[in-house]
Amino acid sequence: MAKVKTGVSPRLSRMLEELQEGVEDGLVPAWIFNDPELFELEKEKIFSRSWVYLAHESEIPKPGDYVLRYVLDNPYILVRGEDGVVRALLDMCRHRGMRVCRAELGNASHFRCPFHGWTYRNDGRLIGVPAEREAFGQDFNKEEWGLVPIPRLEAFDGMIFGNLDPEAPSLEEWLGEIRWYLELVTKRSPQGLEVLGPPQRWVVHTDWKLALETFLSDSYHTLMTHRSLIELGIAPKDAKYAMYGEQIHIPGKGHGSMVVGAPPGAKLPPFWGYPEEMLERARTSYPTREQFETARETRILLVTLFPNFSFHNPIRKPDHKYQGAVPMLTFRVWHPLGPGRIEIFSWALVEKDAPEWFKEKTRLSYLRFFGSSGTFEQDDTEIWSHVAHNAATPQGRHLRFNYRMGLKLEPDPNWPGPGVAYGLNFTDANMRNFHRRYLEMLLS
Amino acid sequence: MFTLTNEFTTVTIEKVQTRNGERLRISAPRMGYSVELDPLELEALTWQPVETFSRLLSTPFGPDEEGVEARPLSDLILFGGEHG
Repeated sequence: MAKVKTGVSPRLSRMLEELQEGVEDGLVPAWIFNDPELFELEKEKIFSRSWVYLAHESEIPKPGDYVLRYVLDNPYILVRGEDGVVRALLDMCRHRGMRVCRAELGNASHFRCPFHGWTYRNDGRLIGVPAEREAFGQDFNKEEWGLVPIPRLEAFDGMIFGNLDPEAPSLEEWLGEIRWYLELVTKRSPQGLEVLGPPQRWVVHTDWKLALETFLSDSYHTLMTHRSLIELGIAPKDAKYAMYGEQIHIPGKGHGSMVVGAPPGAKLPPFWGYPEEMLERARTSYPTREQFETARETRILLVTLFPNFSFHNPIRKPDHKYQGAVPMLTFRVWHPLGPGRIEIFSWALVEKDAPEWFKEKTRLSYLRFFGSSGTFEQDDTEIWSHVAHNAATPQGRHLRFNYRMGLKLEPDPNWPGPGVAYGLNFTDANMRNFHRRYLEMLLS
Repeated sequence: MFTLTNEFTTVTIEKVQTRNGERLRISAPRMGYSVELDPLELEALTWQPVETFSRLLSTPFGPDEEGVEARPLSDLILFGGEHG
């Protein structure tokens, strides 16, 4: 791995060397989870060069539909033009930089700046300038002054990503083999997914990496953090239920997945408990038989894409009265706001062709367990905020965290999917892989 | 009457009766403009591409007056002129 380069302050250089020395041995310094100088480097080296999830195409299905989304603090209008093409336009008037669109979602054919009235088509072209001739003269060329598009915009199975780096590798190359695991949800039905409303959003005083690791590798925390749900009878009785699965990482990419099956002796329906008709459709909609067979044995699936996107697809008993089990799917972006501070964007999604009764049940299941009102979410965020606080305290920042779980595990040679898989989900393997990639980008 | 609004503007729409027929009145109360369209004009709207509306919005706050030359204030300050 590259050595820490000059150009970084001596202080930060020493700290990065500490991370570099510790990561293979499963030692991660606490300070990386709340440090202003490191955050500035993350902005430049990671978030300015990575593919960042922006939206699902079902959020903007019709011409004029738009949502505002953010890469770092850059606001982008993600809008479907009258021509049906999706664009991401920097929400910044070319005249004096005012926001031209301040609603978080809507439908508009044109955007008009409230400062001086410059007006843009929803494809970004400048079409209206008040008193144009008097103010700017006859030779003013509006074509040179359109809204600025994001340097790169690409989609995978309805998932739209943006990248601030015009030289970035393609999204396909960025994703690599994690596609196999993404497809376990994107290709579960021939119709694909749709969002159930706009994302819920809330601010948490924590670091994006801390939030992310819960969804990337930390099945271990369910034992304690979510114990109350076991006691309430709405999570499996075996508190180690999230241990019974595979943890897979994609070397060199930073991505990872956790694929969890039913705990021994638990009577959980196959295929997450999705309705039988959906199981039948999945037989032909999955690209490979291995994916279908994996999906049939899966009860909880998590996928995390480097740097800050995760989805979680668990089977859940929606409450203690309901006799069945209902899966739910949430996408989320751990959007960095500053050192030790994130905004969570959390969507609920469902297969477009799922029966209506199921869509409603899965929506309710999401609301109970995830999203801003969700019990799991409140358990997690309370804890994440204290960890980030401690990571910035004068004494706490000198400690190292133990990422040694599963350090001696051997990969599972029988796993049918790509990546490096371990047959026990109680391991920090995905996080160690994440930190390798994280360091590689910080140091490049 | 009903109202359509977004973050850029508000318009009200109502069917108005004349002695011999009806029109649709579209008003922009904040701008002070109003237009009453007959069915044929409304029909013509149905085949307008977005370019038509972009052209209309090239003057974002309503029509600019044609042929008006910007006149400097110094023209009005008549040093040694008729008020001198």
